[in-house]
Amino acid sequence: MRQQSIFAALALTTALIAPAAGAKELHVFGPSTWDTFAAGSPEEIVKKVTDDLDAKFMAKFPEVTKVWHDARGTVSDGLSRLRNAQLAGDPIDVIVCAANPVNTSFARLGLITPADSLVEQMKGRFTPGSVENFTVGGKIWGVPLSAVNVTTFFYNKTLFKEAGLEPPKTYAEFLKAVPKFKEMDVIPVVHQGKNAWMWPLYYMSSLAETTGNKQLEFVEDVLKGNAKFTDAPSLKALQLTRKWVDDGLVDPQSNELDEDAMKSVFYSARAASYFGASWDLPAVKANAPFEWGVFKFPQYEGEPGHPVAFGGAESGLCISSTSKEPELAAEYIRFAAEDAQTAALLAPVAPVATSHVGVAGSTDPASKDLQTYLPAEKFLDWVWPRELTETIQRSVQSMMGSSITPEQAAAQMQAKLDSMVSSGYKFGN
Amino acid sequence: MSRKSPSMVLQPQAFLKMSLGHLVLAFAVVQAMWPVAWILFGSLKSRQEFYTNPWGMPRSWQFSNYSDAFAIARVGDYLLNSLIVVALGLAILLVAASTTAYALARFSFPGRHAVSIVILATMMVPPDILTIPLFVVLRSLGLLGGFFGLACIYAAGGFGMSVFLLRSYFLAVPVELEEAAVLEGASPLKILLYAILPLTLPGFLAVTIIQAMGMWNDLYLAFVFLRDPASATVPLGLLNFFHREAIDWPRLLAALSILTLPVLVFYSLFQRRFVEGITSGAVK
Amino acid sequence: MHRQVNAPYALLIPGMTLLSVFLIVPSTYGFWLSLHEFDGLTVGAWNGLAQYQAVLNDPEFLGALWHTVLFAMIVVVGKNVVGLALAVLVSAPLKGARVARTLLFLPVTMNIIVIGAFWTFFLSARRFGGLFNEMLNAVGLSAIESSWLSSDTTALASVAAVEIWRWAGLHMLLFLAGMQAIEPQLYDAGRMDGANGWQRFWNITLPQLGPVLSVSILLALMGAFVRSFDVVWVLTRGGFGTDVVVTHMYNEAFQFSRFGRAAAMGYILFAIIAAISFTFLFFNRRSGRNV
Repeated sequence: MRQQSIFAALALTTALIAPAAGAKELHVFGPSTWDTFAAGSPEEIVKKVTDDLDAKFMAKFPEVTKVWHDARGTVSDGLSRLRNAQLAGDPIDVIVCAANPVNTSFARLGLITPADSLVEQMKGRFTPGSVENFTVGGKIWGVPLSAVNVTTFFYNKTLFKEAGLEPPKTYAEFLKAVPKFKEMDVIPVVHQGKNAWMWPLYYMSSLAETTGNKQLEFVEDVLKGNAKFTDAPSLKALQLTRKWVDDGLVDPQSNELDEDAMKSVFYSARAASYFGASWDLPAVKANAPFEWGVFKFPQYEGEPGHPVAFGGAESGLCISSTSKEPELAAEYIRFAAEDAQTAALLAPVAPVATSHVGVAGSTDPASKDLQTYLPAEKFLDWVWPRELTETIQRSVQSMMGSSITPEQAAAQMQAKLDSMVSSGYKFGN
Repeated sequence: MSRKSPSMVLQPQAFLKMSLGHLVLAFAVVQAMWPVAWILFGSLKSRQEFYTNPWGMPRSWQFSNYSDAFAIARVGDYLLNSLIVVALGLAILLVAASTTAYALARFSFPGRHAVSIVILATMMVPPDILTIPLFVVLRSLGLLGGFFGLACIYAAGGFGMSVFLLRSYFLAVPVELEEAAVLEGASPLKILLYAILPLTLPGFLAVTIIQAMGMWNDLYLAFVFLRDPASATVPLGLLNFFHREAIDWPRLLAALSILTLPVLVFYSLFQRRFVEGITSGAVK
Repeated sequence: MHRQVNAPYALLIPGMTLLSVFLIVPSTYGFWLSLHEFDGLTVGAWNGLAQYQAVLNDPEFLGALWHTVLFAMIVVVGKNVVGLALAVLVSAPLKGARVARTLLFLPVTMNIIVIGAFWTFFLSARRFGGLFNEMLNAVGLSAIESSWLSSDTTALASVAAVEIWRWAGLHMLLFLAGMQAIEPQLYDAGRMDGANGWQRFWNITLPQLGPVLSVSILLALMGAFVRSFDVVWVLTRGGFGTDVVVTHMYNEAFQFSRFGRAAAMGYILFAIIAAISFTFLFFNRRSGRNV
């Protein structure tokens, strides 16, 4: 009798322990609050789509009993938050990774492992440019899963109408309206100049036109040493950028405004437009008390290239290099990147377009306009080494604040690259 | 505080000086208080009004900003955490700093100068480069992510200044009081606790308030060293107001007012003793 | 005054433990890191003192160093002069001086985020709602209206001004402390000798405040060199000529992931401020004052 009851007890205990022994937990990490599914949506919605996804995943993979999510902090602290978490030995399997830091730091620092094979299996699923956004040094580092964002002007329809201006296709058209805007005491174009990182958008957009749309090749040439920032295409791009201020289009004191201040100037109709990107759509929709629209960066007359928008798939899913369950992490990513799941994850954002061919973009008028800008070009500051980007940002910022000339800006940028090269920088590292 | 001089006759020159003095004083106070007014007004405006009417009084007083801020910043959840960490940090700091300050003030022993110099030197190291080394140290001690580790870092941060301040207060206490206790055979610790402490209470209070303020408001160290969202302190809740597309200023200001309120209450309650504390011995 | 007893070693245990574990060990480790390539996760190649040499040859670092020195000069003088002036002001027999004493301390308690927001708004261009320029215009001084925080010529001075504004209250209290300790008899004697207010201040108050002044100057110096990150970052993000060593270090460490180099910059800063402080203390000792 005693033996039987001991047996029974043992059986019961093993029955209780066994599932626990086979149970696995997955940890999904977001370096900042922006690195979640349905990024930018209210918290309840993010939670709902995430829980739905997790429930479906755990139904498919019953050995997974819990999926943890941790996304906190500001975007600028993201890299250090991820690094600290890995340094602390926190369990991290999947990272919701934004394309920008993947290009500029995560891949290079070995925080994530390449996902080539994973992406290979999903061939044909992604829209042009999406996978390229996650390709660094010939390897693919993440699976795109996001809205596609593009650079664009936002403008106040009422003010433009008053100035007798249609969304300008050329720079000259825009220029013609400057006297009228002055009369109305309205700033034609305002910019968040305090944030140096946004100024290069003007330089990049101008460079696309001055290089006949071969700006990526040109940048690579410069980094390899076969061309210089002071060469004609780049110098012209800087001069054209500076013209925006000198001709009275861009406010000469834009350097005083950060993102927040700039938007308040726009929303209170003291400025008629600003150059930003479609990730601002939800905010503009919510805050602009007037009729607004979008238009593409205008054409400079006489330049060989046509205007382009920069951007692409903003974020994706990566595998953490410290993950103890890399295969499980890959399964999670594979599952989330299926068209059906992706559609559900992106729906709340009403994206302009998405990284997936099978998931269509939203149909509201602004989104339809923006869809015509696609395919977007890769941001050049993902190609420039970080140190150089810092100098380019500051040089353009100073130039637009009228402290230095375009020639000086070009010289500064080249000098920085030269000193990096003499300290051992080589393109392709 | 100055004594009333017997010859306080208001001659024209003196009168001019008086009014000028009042004017300058008023100006000084206004320029110190203006931002406070801005914060209070701003916290009661709507987001729109915050930008369209930055300097005036709020047109409609949105007290709901405060309750919203309380909820968004999860003040309720984080309050206890903040209190624990600050209390712990203060306890560690006061014990460590007072014993060290007392030793430096009253005893002459080999290495006395060296200790002072080392403490002074640690105050000159830029705190930012210590982040990763501290990270590694805490991790190897198993203190990473816990309140105790963070409290120790807070205490270490305020150690130098507290030691020097407390030392100067101790130096101001007449030696005779201690002589009696020493003759009775009391240990230095007992002397510190029962003889010195009561006399230098203002000084302790001053150090406590200054350091508590720093620990209470700290955002960066808490962000790095508290790993679990459940252990977050109140300042970390402020991060919730920094949305990608805009900063929710009115509610952020409301949250900051809530955050600073305890400091102000504490300060105004103990203001007199605090000022007395600072003023009673920082000299020596 | 001081006793020769062997007891103090027990007293020193709590403090020395805290100091060693949480300050000395990390500082030493940090120094070791500064001699290597370090990206924040894995320690790379040994660079030795060559890393320090590279930093000292870097024109951007030298620029940041120069800005730091300029900034420190303005701030140290400003904090002490304004603090002293305020201390004199609130100890005069003026109505409301008592209340002023409390209120003037308020900036010290304010959160840096708010200080940044307020001053950025306040100093911006008139059309962006900048009240300061608005006021200048109102009193007819529109000629000196400027982009205070976004122009290379005025940004550093403006940031310094905000830093002075922020801490003046603390220094005021320190000086008040010192002034309280001055024996009234000295003033009486001065008055009897026929000295007026200004002479009394110059010949009695100031010399008696010597020790406090030293402490105040040292504190201001250390603050300006080592703890200026917050105020610079929040006002200008380190642009427009306000890049100081600590903001430069931050970029080096967190944008470029070169922690080893950043640490080297930190220790160079440490060496400089240690040299200045200890020289200052040495001369003070010489002239008979104690710190």
